[in-house]
Amino acid sequence: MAEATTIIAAGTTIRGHLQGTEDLLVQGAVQGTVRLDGAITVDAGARVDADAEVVAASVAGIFVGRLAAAEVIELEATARVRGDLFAPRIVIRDGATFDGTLDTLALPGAVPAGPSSTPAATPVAPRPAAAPPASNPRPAFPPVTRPPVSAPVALPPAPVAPPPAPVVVAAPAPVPVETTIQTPALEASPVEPDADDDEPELPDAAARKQVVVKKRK
Amino acid sequence: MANTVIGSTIVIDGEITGSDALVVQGAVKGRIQLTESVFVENSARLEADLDVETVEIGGVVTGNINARGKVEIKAEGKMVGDIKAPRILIADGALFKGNIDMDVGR
Repeated sequence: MAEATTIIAAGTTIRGHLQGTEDLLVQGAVQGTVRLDGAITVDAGARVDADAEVVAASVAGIFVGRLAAAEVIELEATARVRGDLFAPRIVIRDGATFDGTLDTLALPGAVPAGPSSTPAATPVAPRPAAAPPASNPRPAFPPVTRPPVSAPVALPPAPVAPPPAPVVVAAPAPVPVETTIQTPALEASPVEPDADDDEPELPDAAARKQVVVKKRK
Repeated sequence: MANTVIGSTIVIDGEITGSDALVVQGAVKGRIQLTESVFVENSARLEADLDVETVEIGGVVTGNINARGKVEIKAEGKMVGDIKAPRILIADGALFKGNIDMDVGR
């Protein structure tokens, strides 16, 4: 939670675009778009017609539109909601009415640490791949689908960034036509004994990858 | 009556209407129409036309103000635009550029 909490009081209506990095309490009305790096609370008696992207949402009043939360959406017993909800965790309490679509799997990379306990999330393939780059606390929402695969793959070679000496030795290895990045990694073992015995397989393979890249250029 | 508070990190582009007093600490661009007062705090930036009861300016306001009561520009306040109001206070140190209409002809 940020230092200040924004309150839209019961007699107030906001139309347009609202964005910020703190929590928002709506007791009145909001129409338009909401982009919040914080939580939105729609009180009983409040009405929000919006396309909203937030960290967390709690709805006890009326919400119409699209609501995407990076962590959790809770529909309280008095909630009246129509639209599309996206969040890794969605709670609908007894008494709430809802008409629309729910999606707890649509947020690639939007599962920072904690929420990974969600049982529905684990079996899905893209989810674990997206989890490691938790460094970005506010990842893309459904419309902005990033390819999450590239980031984790790129990580291992990183520590071996400076081109080491074995580059020269490794040069003959790529002679067989190597089109994909995976192939040099597989052929690493035959060349390994000739090059260096001390170095682990991973760095050596990484170095050879770099050579391949150079040859392509 | 409860106040509406626009926090310091909030940016609103659009229109605020209603019958609650409004405290602005963040940024509002567009239009504000209230039957109550607006308090523009030091951290606030308003790029808006105001049609309200009273206004108290400690931040930066660009736009025109139409107030039924009082407009006060405090020492830290900065206002660029026209003011139409029966009572206007400008504190020592306040910055102001624009026209003032106190409707004295009526």
